[in-house]
Amino acid sequence: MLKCKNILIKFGGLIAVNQMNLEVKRGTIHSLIGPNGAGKTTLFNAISRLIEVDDGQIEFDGISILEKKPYNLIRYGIARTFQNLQLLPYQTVQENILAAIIYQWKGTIFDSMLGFHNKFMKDAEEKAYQAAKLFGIQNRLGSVVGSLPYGIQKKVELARTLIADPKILLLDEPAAGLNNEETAELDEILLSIKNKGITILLVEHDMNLVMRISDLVTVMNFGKFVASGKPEEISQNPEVIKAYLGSSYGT
Amino acid sequence: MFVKVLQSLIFGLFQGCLYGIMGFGLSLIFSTVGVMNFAHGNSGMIGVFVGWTVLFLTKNIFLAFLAAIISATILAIFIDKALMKRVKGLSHSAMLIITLGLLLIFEGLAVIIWGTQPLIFPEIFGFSPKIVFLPQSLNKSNIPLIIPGNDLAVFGTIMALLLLLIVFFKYSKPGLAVQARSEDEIGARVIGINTQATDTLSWIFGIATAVFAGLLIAPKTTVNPNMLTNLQFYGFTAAVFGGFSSIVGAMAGGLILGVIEKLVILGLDELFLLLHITSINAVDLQLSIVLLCIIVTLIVKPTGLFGNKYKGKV
Repeated sequence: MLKCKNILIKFGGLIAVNQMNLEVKRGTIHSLIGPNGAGKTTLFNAISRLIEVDDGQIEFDGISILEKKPYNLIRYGIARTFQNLQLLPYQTVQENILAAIIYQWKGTIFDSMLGFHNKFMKDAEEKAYQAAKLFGIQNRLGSVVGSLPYGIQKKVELARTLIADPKILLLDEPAAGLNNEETAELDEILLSIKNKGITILLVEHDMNLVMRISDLVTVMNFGKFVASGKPEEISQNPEVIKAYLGSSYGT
Repeated sequence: MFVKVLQSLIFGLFQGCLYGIMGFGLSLIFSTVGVMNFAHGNSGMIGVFVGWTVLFLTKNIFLAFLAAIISATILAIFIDKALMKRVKGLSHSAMLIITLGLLLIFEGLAVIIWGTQPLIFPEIFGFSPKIVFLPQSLNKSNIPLIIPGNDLAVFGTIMALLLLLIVFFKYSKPGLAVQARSEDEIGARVIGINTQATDTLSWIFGIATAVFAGLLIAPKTTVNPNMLTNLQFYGFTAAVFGGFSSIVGAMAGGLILGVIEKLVILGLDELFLLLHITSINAVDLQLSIVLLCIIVTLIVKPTGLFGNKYKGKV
């Protein structure tokens, strides 16, 4: 579904991602792990076209996305969240979620003024409600996002990605800042998203979460590919243990 | 006294709508592109000169307005695509310095092309002022109330423009996109918004409103290279006063500022009269009052009267 081939990304003299290959299969939860500075978020940013690659190819459903405009990726079914939230802080939860599907409205300003968008908006609001309900924030739809606690803002961002009917979700550390209860809840939410047929590419530092829900795990270090496999294989891989997990993991 | 207060209100609202429309353009560009456009007034001035030239050649005021707005659009696209795009996201200071450079370049260009001699711009509406005497119960001193017809027409025109702008930003997809981009560029981009297009649109709307304000006051100020310099400063104050993060904030801030300014001048006039102070003219304190408004606003409510307060609270 998503293929990254020989990705090279340089920041001046620093090689952030070096000849990295990654293949994400449809309908799976694929985790991308590695120590801080391994290049995971940089690769994420390249996939979501926020930064340019110096070399390599990224294909999504057979289409080269490097030739596409960054803001059009959502139309191809690629949605993402961020390590640092990128929400509209002055808008309400509902407005933030709805913002991700407003682009689907094809009417003009006059259609909007004359109320022809009512049907579209009604359906959109229902979808926003359902998305919010999935994350247990349906009672917060009227709250201004900037005033909400971090954990709830995280859920708003997740709900926003989901409402756009994505084929793949790129989630950058969704568990960061969540308490144990919320992280356990996240397990279920991510698995239910997967059960809807949506592929997930996950960057996460919470190894327990990664090992519990991932179908496949790819490990990066110093911008390079280290290993890829099922969670149990990865946790036994000596190179991964040395590079990232620490020698005591799994013993 | 009632008549004097009413008179100050009328003059204040007229002044205030001009401050507001300038502030609107400044805050729109600032909230989306993230740069304080020091060349705002002079960009508007170039548009007014173009309008004056077309008026001179064709004697048609509609063509003059059209040409001025088209020139504003071209200027805005040039600034965004040829200058700002290259430094956007790299350095805020570089963007700021570019606008400072443009301030000087536009002024120089205007002097070279049109000269320094003030050029006459005809009245757009042609309404004569009306003098009204309020009933004796409200007006014991029998002071006349002046209703400036042209100023009221300008006020009405700017309010109508504001209404159109609100409708545009509330109901149109490009308008909503500009709002979203002003809150978070990357967040806007990942939900399908072309942030380069929203930036261009902000420059166009920002400079076009400056040109529009310039054309409306040109009959009073004449057309000259410095015609919008002061108004830009007042517009900046209006934006600070109303809040940079609110679309209507600058406009409302401008109106309130205009009224406060005139009421304070009236109050000081009365005070000086009472104290027999003749060496100071209250009107000379106009700029000081505006500066004081900025300082007080920044101390009491740094986000402005209508600004959002949630930024950074996570």
